[in-house]
Amino acid sequence: WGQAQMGVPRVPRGSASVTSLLSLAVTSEQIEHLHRRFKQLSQDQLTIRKENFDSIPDLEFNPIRGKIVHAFFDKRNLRQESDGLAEEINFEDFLTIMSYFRPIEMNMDEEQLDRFRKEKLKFLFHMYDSDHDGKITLQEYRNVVEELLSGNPHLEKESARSIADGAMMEAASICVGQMGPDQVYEGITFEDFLKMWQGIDIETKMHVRFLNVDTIAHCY
Amino acid sequence: LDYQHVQVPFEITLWIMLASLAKIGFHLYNKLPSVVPESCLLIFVGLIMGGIIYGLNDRSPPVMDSDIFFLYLLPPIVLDAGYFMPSRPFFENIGTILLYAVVGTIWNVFGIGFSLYGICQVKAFQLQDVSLLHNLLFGSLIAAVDPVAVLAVFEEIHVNEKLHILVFGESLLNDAVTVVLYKLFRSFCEMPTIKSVDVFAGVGKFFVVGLGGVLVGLSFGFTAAFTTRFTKDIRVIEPLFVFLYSYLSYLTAEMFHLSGIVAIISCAMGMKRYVEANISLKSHTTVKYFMKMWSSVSDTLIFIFLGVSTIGENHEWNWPYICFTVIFCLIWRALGVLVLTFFVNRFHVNTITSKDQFIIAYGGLRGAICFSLVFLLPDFRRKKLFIAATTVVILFTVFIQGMTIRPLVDLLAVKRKRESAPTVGEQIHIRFLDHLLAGIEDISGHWGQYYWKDKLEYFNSKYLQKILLREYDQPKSSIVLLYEKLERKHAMELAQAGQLGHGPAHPSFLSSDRTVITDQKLEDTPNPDVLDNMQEILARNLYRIRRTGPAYNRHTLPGDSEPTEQAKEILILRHKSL
Repeated sequence: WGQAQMGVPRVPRGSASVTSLLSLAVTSEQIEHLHRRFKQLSQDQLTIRKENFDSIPDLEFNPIRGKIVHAFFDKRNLRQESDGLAEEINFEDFLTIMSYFRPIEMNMDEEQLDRFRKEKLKFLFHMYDSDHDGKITLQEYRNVVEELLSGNPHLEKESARSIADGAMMEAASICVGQMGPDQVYEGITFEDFLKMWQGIDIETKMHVRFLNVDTIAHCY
Repeated sequence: LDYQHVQVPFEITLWIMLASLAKIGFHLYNKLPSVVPESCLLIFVGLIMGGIIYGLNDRSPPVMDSDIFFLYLLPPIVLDAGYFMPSRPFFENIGTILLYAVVGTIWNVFGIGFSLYGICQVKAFQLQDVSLLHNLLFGSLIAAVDPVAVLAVFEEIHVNEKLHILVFGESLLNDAVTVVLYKLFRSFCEMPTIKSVDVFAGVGKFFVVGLGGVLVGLSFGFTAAFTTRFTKDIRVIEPLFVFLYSYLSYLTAEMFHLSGIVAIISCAMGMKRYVEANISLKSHTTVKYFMKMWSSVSDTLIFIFLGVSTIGENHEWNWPYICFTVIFCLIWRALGVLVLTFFVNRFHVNTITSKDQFIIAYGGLRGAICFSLVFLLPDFRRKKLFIAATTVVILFTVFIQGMTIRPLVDLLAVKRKRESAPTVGEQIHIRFLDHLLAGIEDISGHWGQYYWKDKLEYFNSKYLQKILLREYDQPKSSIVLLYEKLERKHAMELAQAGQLGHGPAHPSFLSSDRTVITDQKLEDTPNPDVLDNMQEILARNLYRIRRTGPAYNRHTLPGDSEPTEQAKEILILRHKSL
């Protein structure tokens, strides 16, 4: 990080969040590439707002576009202790979000792997849980399914709803097992969410390939 | 007694009957299939049959004609493999598979060829006259992993999906390389001099063979999909189109000296999606069962004929050559897998563990394709030696490797296939992840795997689906398809058990493993006003019950108050509205 990099903003020392993240992952070329991209999106400003994401043409066809953009401004993902939505994000925040998609490293031990996995799943959880209450309720799940299937104009809303209902029931039976007749299932908590994803190895699936780990860049 | 009149069909039917009876016999003894794989038992039966025929006639039994094998016995198996190939894992690992299939096979061919040539130089073995070219030719036919054998063995051991698709995909795709190298060396054998331009032509030919096969396959596949668009009124012959077009693609590719296996696989994979959307449920079941049946018969016949053909006077036993062939096959395969995996692991996040590597190397079984190719060799002095060596290698791999692979898998604790029922939730998550990653790639300006996949999907939905799918059938996402399938299964079970509307027997999408019966009701189309009425009832009753507000309560699902008939019809008609 000490090397002169054209136009890359100096990360202020002591910004613990970025240090801890980047100490594990991204090389300087990748940071430069992302910085270039950031500048392109922000039109040479220092921060990005939600509207700047409209300039990406391919993103328009993405059914969950809204949730993705929202995730960039979600304060829970930006590692700030506060909650809610940020108005605008700077390059540091942009990098923070991107670092959720870094690939797994060869030399990770069990504990690191577990933390790695939980990090990614937490990001996903925040995307599902739109009202920030720590639970994915039926309504939120329905919303997710409706968005996913929104690309299909012929599908009725009720079908999407019943699919979400079915999925919710599956989730309930995975997380709580057999429920008694008076039990009420409030919503999917993060622990339940972890259980649901047990079968899918997210560490290897959820990454963007160019964020490869070649050298470990330490920033102090 | 007019035997001559019916001889040919009679004998064919008798052989097939023998094969099927043998299969029943194995499964009667419960313990046997778990210890000895079916392929071994079938070869054994073939050996016995061959021995009987030899003893009776005192001459060699009929050797399996290579034409019969390549034109009639092999296509059904490959079609079955291609049609039911899980496309997601296949395309996720396509790079690795291609690397193993192409580079790995070439490595094996040259390795085995050159090392056998080295053996031939040793004076004591009396093998001086086997030239380098002959050895390379032999190498080209013995190096390829055989899909039939791999399928037969791996089907029974249930390793994890990735490992299975790697070995299996490799065995299917290496056909392109095998075809090119075999034909190349064979033509070299006949040419007086070999110029370097010929070698380059060979390399170019490889691309032509592989890509040409894919093109031929895809064009037939899309034509098939297009044809099924118009078959609404003649449902009965729908399954036929699937088979006709696939077989035509295979034959056309073989006609142009392209790779028939690659063609038939691309045809099957290309047409599957559209054909399944166009044809009726019954046709779909028919296609599935016929494919499985034909491939099973072919498979059985191939192994029995392998056994029969082994007996006889076709062999020249030169023990050093044969032993070294076996040894070199094993060594070069192991080396190839090791080196290639080393490269793969450097570029991939999802590494292939050393246990997996061992199974990939050990699972390199040879089978009937080598056998047929060796019989197709031009007649030269040492042909019988090659036949003997091929036979021994095949028997060795099928018997020894086939029998020991299962205990080894258990011993090494290789990751097994995850046995779990498909859930709608999982589909939702996977789709969500797909879109998320495509979005992130767009945002970061990186054209990666998900970007291209997204683009392909977009192209598909805008153009292909409009042409290939029937007008009034909307394209359905995998989530909806799976949900419908589960709902249908569940509705049939409930209707069968007559439990609809009784108490807290809540629908559970997870615990169903009873066989699905065909329900005539599904095919009847109700008239419009009945449908409207039912829709109304639907909207009023079922959905009101499920709409429970912020808290999700399992208790208030289809309650006691509905009469059974109405509820039954509601559930069955519900997925008509989807």
